[in-house]
Amino acid sequence: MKRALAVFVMALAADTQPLFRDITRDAGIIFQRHAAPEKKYIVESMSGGVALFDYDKDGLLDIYFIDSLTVETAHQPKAARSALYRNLGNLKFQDVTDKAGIGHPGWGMGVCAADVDADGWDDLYVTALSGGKLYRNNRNGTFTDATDRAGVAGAGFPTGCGFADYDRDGDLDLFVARYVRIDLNALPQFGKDKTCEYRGVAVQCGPRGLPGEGDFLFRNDGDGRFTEVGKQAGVSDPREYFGMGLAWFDPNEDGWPDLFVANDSMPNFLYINQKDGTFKESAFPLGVAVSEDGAEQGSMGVAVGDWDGSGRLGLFVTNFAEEYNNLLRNEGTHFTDVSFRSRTAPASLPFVGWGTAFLDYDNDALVDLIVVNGHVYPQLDKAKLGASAGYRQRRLLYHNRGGGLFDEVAAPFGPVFTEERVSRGLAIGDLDNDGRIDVVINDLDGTPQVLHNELAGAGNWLAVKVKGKAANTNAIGALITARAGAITQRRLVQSGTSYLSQDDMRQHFGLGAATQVDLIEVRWPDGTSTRLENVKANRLVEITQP
Amino acid sequence: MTAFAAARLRRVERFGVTLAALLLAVTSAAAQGPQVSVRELLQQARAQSSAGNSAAALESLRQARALAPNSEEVLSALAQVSLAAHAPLPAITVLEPLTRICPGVAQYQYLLGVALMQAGDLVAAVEALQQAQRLEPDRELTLVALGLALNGRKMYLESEAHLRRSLELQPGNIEAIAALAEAEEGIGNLEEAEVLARRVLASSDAHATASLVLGLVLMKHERYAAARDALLKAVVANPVSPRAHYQLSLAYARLGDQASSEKHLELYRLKLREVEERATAVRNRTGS
Repeated sequence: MKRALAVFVMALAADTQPLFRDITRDAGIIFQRHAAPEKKYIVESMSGGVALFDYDKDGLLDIYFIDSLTVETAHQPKAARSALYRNLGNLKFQDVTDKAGIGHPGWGMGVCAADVDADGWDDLYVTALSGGKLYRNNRNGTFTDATDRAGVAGAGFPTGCGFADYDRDGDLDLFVARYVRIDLNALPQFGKDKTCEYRGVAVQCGPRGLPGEGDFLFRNDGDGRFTEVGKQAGVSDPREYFGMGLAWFDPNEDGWPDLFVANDSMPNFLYINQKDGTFKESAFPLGVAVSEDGAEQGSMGVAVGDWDGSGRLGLFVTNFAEEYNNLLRNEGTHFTDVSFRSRTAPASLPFVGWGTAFLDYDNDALVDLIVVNGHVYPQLDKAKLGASAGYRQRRLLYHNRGGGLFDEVAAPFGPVFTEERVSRGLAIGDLDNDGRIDVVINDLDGTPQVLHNELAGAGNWLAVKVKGKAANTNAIGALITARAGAITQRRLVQSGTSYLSQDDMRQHFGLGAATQVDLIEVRWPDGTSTRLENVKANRLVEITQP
Repeated sequence: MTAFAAARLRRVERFGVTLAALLLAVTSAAAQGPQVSVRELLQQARAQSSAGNSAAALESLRQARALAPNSEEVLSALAQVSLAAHAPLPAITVLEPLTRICPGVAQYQYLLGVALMQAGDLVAAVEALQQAQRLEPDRELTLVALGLALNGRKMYLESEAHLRRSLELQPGNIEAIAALAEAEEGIGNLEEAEVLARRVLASSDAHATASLVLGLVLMKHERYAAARDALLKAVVANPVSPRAHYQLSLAYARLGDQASSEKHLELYRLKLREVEERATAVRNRTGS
């Protein structure tokens, strides 16, 4: 038996083929994050996101990395430099941050993209300690800080952000989650008591034991200004849970955007849109608040996807170590936690999960799943770990085998998955428009990674870019259905994805052996639909809302 | 050597403690003074415990410990009576030194694991039980406890292996079958989980774990009324479990009974806070 197993393992190793190649240096990306080595304070452990968006409308995805300050450099805003890299084509990038004028948003945390002013050019919102920044795209390679005029600075410790037209008035509104209340002049003392210990080792305090912060909903007034309406809308989080990643989506398919908010160490929120400008928080009855056994989890990142081919959008939520990442199946009326049944949970138990995405990396028409990990305590390596991983942690890649089952397959794909790092943000998109989805990861410590998908023999594909009418030019919230033969897949256009990050808004469909898509249907955010038939594979299709 | 020390020697040798460690323990105990009084207190505690008076037994043992603070026999008795009285914290505070004094005794690692599990520190519980398993492999009690602790940490595949081994050693053990049902449900083998749970319930109608597992399986089969009934039995059998109340709140929500759903959601929250308070107390006492 053992001999047979050894032969099998050897055969598997011989079959190993490259999947993602780390092209960061070759691509000309030299971004280096700033981080305090000891992470003595929680605010030093949570950044940062990464955005994939096409700021210059040349058809190539550009990359924006978030950098953060430290307690030591908190009053020197230029000590951190977030960076915008322009995609030059041929997988080469150029640092255009200084020209763009978006290098110093402050103590950066996360980022989301949207065409806020409806001019057809993507703008950025950056969450940053003490207030966010809205960078309006000037259509000439530069951005203008429009935060004050728009009234979206907020305050405190914002984390995740995302735009959606929650009131269906045609323009985009903004939700910003917030984490803990931090006073840089009165920081909780490192290791001061039992709430600042982990396995007997002194560590940063929080989030438990620290006061939390409520969340913001900024309603777009349509004149370039926003009004904060979180309380009236019922999404202000008066209990001040520790908000992290979020996702606007429509799980009940009533055509109105609902909102999932991942909370660290507290129950998550699922706000159901009441179609009158208000929401009803329903996470518990809908089965997405806590783990299957009722445990409050340290939730960080969120992915939304039709992973089971049901046509309904399910959820994947990354969590703290010793908890498991939740794979939640959308049953139409509620969610079922299928994390263990799907075989995604066991591999996740040792890790602290952050950025995540559903992606069909092999274009076999089934969305797979990626998770990046890394602990928050550098001191962890001195502790008794049990079955937990250390501070630096490997990544997880799940291959969707169909039938609701996933296989964790990271190891055969080599160091880009097995090297232990301290990752946070993750975004997916097709950097070279070759029809294979690439991955960009922003680590807490050190350099990011740009992972180019080089899988040979991947299936056919189709990319869909939708253009909405009126103010929502990216058609954020649009639901795209593609049917090829017996397989139907769905994708959602989102602003704010993963952990404090922004995926490519173009939607990618793996098609396997199918050479055409029989039917594409776009359900636009206003409820109208557009249908296209017999679309050839292996190309980008642009669909404009009539 | 007194008869008391000789008895301890026999027992300790059975658990494989080195002679050096034993001598250290004997010397330590002898230095503590009046062994006769300690023995009387131990006998008294045994009698009180047999009569079901745990509080009195614990008091006798505390007095014995004051007289012989490093006595292995006193510490061991104190731990066992505390555990029987569902007082894991005092048990942990005596078992931790005991496992240091006698690192080769599987029984103490086992008891420490059980105490930590009762207190909700499953990470430490698994470590202690794995150590007990290394010291004395294939001990049925340890295998079951390890399976339960691993279930608590959602390490169902690992749990399943230990529980199946325990059932090879003692096929009819209801606790092991119930724990295996829980592991199978966790792994996703719902049919196997249901068969095992029903087998337990056939002989022990009010079994908490089996009722919970059956409820979970029925929830996944969307048989909400039957799930509700099973989960109601689970909360009656184990009223301190937040998990059963949480699932019950979901069952009522699926059945459209919002009032009952809310009621069990509140009970879930209450029980969850109690569990957290116990875990915090353990952390504060043990530093783990």
